[in-house]
Amino acid sequence: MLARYKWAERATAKIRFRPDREAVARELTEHIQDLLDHCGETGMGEEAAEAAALAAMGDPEAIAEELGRLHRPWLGYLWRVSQGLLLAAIGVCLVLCAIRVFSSPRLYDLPGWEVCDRLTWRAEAVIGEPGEAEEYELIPSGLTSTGGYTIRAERAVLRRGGGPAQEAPWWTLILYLHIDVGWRGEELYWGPNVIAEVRDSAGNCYNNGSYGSSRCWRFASSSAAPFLGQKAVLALDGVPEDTAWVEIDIGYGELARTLHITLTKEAGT
Amino acid sequence: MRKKRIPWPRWAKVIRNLLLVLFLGVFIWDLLGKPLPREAALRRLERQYLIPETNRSIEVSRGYWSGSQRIDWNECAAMVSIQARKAPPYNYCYPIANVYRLTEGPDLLALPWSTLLPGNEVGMMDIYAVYAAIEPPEDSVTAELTLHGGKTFTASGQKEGGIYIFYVPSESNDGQAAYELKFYDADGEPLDIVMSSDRNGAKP
Repeated sequence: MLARYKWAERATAKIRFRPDREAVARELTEHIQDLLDHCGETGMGEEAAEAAALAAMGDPEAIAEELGRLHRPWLGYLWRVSQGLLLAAIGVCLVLCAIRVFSSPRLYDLPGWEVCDRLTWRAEAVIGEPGEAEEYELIPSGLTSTGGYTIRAERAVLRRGGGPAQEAPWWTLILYLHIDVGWRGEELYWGPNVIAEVRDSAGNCYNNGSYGSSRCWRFASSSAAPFLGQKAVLALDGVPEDTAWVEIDIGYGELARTLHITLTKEAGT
Repeated sequence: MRKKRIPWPRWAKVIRNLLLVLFLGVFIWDLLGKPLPREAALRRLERQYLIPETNRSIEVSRGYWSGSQRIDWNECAAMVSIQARKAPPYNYCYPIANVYRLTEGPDLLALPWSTLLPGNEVGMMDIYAVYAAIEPPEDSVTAELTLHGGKTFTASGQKEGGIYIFYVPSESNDGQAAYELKFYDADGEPLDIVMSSDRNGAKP
């Protein structure tokens, strides 16, 4: 009985990749067993049947040469390496996802969630929730492109705020912007480092609150995801209620642009 | 009878595995926060701040503190950055930056990170605020910065890589102080004087 295994071992000796060598040896041994069963049906003794079966299989050295030529080891090793790399990559992904989820359980930390979230996310921390303040929607229109980003006004809300009692009603214009970040998905650092100046149709200029002026702007933005883009908000405090447009100067040098946003009242307001 | 599924050939499995590894590799890179080598990370910061590619840079030592502040600038903007380290388990370095809008002519930048240098007393260290004068007159050889804060302090600049660096002891430094920046030629004649009242100054 051992003879068939020794024969199979000699016939596969030139297959250098071990998993292939073992698989082919198993197959050859099964084939020898089939021949043995056939010889056994003819009434031959076990040893004679085995010798006949091995003789029918042929010269193991010649077969070894042919099998060694057919079974290249490099593809087998490459396959094992690719399996190892895939397992390692899956493991690292699971660990990093677990760290991300358990160390900071906010859904906003998952890539792309903030962009898909149609609520006002962290913008509410900056501009406040609507509450009972009077507010109404305007129709914004305007976009600009620079440096691989396209910034578009999506929504505009005029919200009445509390102001000094002796002054006219105090309005805050909240602009909701969508920033197309392309395939790179690099977040635009929306804020005082990118925004140079903000002004409105009445000739008012707004600062970023550092000079204690009555007219200032506040901002918030989400992270960015490739192709999904990025959300940003700009709130202008002290804007006249009948503002027809606002302009936002962004960028530096040849990348500087002006985002001109025209504001139209909705019908019926 | 159910059709027996034809197994994929080995080469197809290898390609499939390697494509999956590539896809997961990109996902892992995103989970890590998209780390890049320093130069590439700085170029990315420039894109994110809408700054045209900077063409000049200089490293300003932080003295006995490790690392340095790097100033990258062009005609319209300057970016000052240091290398910070992400918390474990990520543990890789990435740049954090302050950006300054430049005007025509020399600009004075108050660098955001201080420097630890020997103080006036032997064996003592002092913390110094660092200022940089960008785009000085080409013929200038020396420069002098005077800060008018709680008390008046004057420092001479060290010319490095085409800009002047000033070290101001922290007790003499008032971040909101008015300043005078003077440049002199080789004969000691004044070339240019820049005052904080002339411009808003380069503020981050």
